[in-house]
Amino acid sequence: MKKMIKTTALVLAVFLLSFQLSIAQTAKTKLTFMGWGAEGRYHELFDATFKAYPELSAKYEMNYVMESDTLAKLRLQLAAGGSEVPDMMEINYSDTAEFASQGVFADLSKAAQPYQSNTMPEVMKLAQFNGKLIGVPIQTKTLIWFYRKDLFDQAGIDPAKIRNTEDFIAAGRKLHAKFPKSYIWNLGSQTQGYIIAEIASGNGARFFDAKGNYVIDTDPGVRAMLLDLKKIKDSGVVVDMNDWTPDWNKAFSDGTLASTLCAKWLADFIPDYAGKDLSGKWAMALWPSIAGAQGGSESGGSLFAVLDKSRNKAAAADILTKMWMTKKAYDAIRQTKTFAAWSPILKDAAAAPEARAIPYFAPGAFDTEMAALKQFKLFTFSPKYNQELKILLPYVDKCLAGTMSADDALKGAQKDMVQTLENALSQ
Amino acid sequence: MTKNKTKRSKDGIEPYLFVLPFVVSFILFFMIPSAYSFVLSFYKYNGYSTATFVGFRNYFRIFGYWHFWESLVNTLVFYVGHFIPVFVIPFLLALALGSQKTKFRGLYQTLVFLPNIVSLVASALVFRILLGTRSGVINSLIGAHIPFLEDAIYMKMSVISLMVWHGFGWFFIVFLAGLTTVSEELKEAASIDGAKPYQVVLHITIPIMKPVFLFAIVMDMISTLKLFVEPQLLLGTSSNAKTIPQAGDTIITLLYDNLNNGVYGTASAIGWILFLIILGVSILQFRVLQVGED
Repeated sequence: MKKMIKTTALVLAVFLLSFQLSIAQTAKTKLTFMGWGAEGRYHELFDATFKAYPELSAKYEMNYVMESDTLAKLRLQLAAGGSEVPDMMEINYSDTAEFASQGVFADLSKAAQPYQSNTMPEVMKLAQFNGKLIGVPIQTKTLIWFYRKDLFDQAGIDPAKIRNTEDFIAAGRKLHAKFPKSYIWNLGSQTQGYIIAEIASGNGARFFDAKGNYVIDTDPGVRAMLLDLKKIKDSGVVVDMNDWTPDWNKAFSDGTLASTLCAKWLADFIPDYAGKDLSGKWAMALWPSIAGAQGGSESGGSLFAVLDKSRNKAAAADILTKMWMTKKAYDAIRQTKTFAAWSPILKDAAAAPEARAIPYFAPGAFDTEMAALKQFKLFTFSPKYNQELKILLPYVDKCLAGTMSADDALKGAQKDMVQTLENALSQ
Repeated sequence: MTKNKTKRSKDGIEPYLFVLPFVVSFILFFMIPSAYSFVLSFYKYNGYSTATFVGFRNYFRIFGYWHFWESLVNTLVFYVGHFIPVFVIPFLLALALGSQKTKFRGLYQTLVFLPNIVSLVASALVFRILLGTRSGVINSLIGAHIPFLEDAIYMKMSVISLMVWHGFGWFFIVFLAGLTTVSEELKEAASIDGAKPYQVVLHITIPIMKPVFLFAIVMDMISTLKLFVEPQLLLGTSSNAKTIPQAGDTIITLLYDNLNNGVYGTASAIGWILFLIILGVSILQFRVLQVGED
């Protein structure tokens, strides 16, 4: 009996040991990614990359954390000591300054080194901060003028010939004369922050000087932006309608909006808003020079960054650089439905014939986008940009509504920024 | 003797043991965070860099910023604007539907309470569709372009409408429950003595229901002064609906903006200012509503 017990115990021990060993051999490193919106799109991205690089799939396993406000969550995680921060996260360029200035992101320069020569230098600007590579760019928010080619053709408007604000207003009048229910743009009672960054990035406007002192009331770029927006609004060529309202969504399909000045990301929304019937009728052109802006971008774009406090920095850097800096992964990602319309950010990917097909939009969209990328410029965002915007926008609204002069609006914004934020660069 | 002593001491400890879980959680999750936020209101702190002591500067900055006063006024407008409709109409409805003579009482009570159990997000989305300037249902029906969600005055009325529609049912149920405390015999006696129905309501029902009114008024005041979700959902104009026009901002929106941007010191200071406002208004309401009881 004793012998039987001993034998059973021995067999059990061997079994348990071998089981433990097999677990140890197959255990994958678990990495966490924090993003926003639908979790599925991140699944698609990582699955496509792991499919392109099976060795990554063998070593790593992904865990996704979706947050409606990733920045607030990150601040809380850092305030709690940082042990719970994700390994990787998505972040908009306009939000990076606050965290990058505090060394929150890992430097990916070394991991990206093998792929650097294939990246577009304009795009890589997005991820550089004080000589460090704080992430991998995933999307550029180039300035694009979306327009209804059928309506513009009938009204005899060629977007390529619209050079400045005056031309834009004249084109708006021409369009409205031909189609009384159609407008060239919308400017409602609540100006969107991205319009400010879109124009300010191209005309060199600044909210603060090198020492962080606010100069919004004296900066010529900010003033020109405000005056030109007012000129456009007062001309009557724009419809009084706010973005992200039910009216706005419908305006893309019912012809109220025959065009809109925005950034490339709107291409992800127009097919849904405008509907299948208008497929091939919406086209892309370069922005005219509004307020003297030559090119620019809307908040730059987005990055995937690795957190400096991550326990798996090397693994995260390995995955992200392969994901966004190799054509192999780019091709796999393009196969997914979600990212089919995303712009290439690699030289060889941009040169590939298949990249030229941008679904839904009229031919020529890809060339426009590449031309917009050549004029890609970044606005100088401070770590307090969101707070600055919250102060500035109501003054812009009052000025555009005609209830406040441009001078008073800029002085008011300057006073409030100094009163509440003190200095743009102070913590 | 010893047995009795042990029993007495057990009896003495038991009540404390019962309240202990609450006391511990209250201290851990309310008192300590509150004290921490009070201390934080004197610091400049973004959550992860070094905290700097700034004395009363956060408070001075808030009081010196005109938008704080605008947000305070907006909050008061929302409070005053929704108060009468959600107070008077549900009370009258409760009187009507509380009567034994009313047919299909259960059905009406369910219908009146229904909006309260509809998700606020869903309600706000429906209101957005109804109130759109160009493609909104109401504007389409009347053939106008009234900027319900864009004009500074209309947007406040829209938020108040949503608050009334959604909050109506809660007051109705509270008043309906309160009416059960009014004795039928007392009302009958008054009627026999020649009191008319409105006199019964004025001189018997309302005075007896005063504690219920006080409860409803104080609870409503606290929740309205902390108003955040309704304007955020109804007036949000960015892709993630975080940006609402200043004309719709409330004190909590201002607090949220600071919290959201990692300005924890200022956010804490706004929280404490709001606490003092709520405390002041509550004391006032208690005093006013207790006068009649003397």
